[in-house]
Amino acid sequence: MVSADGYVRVTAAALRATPLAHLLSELDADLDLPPSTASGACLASIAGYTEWASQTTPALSVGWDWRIATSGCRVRYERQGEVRSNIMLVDARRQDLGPLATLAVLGVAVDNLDWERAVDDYISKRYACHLSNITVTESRPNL
Amino acid sequence: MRVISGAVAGLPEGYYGRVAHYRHRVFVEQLGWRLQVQDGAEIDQFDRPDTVYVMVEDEAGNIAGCSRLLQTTQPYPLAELFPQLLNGLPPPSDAKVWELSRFAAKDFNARAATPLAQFASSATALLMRASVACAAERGAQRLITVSPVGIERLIRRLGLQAHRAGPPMIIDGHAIFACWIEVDRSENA
Repeated sequence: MVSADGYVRVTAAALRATPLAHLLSELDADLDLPPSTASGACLASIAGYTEWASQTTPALSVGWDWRIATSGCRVRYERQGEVRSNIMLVDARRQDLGPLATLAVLGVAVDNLDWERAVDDYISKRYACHLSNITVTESRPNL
Repeated sequence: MRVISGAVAGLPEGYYGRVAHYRHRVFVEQLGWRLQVQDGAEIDQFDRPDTVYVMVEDEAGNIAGCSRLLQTTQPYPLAELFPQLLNGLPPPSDAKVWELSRFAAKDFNARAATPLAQFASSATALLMRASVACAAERGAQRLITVSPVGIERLIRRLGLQAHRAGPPMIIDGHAIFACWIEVDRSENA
């Protein structure tokens, strides 16, 4: 159940055993998309956030920022910053582990999640007409 | 920039109308929210004599941001319209819990400012801190806010102690969520 402070309290083991499903993802609103004739576009400028939740009652909710990073012609999604959630982890005696410990565990949990594909599928469908305009023609150092 | 706050009766003359028009420009014209409108002003049933407004004004006297504070012992949007955002928790009704709504910091006089750039603007940060301080002065220990998901990023970037109440939901085509802000632990952030 949800605590009066709004947190859902779970143990780390319970968190690991609870599947999280993709809810939605968005591009950041200040995305500076290149025109259709552009070349040499820098994919590192693409960033956004994603939201995931459990199907449990109450729901566990996690969200984080991401960006698309390029290395040569390789493109990959990277999590940016801390995970945002309604979760407070507790130990076996139901004592709070605290926000910092919870953040650390959530970060590992998210990084072990195969979230990149789901975000890419969602974003690609939602912004298909925009993303089809992006072309990578060169690798850039220090990205 | 300067901050003006208070209930309608305590605001300088004309400010309430200016805020209502500013909200119309932001929420109705820019964001496309379907809200109650009266003569180009966005006003609803939660704009009452006890409602507290916080505004940021730029050096030229233009409104650059506003927010609305409601004590949860009286009707407020989250409890009346979006209780499902609380993830099963009953809506709070507590003099120490206030709701923050209609938070917007859009400087219509700034050139080429993108929405995300607005997040980081000094007006946005000033408005959020002023809203928290204003609520604290009135006895709030916690704030609950119904907002677009992006507000959570702003809150965290400002170092405020906050966490979401549950997953965001798509309502009228917009992803919104409820978020708790700890006033005591955020005032000095």
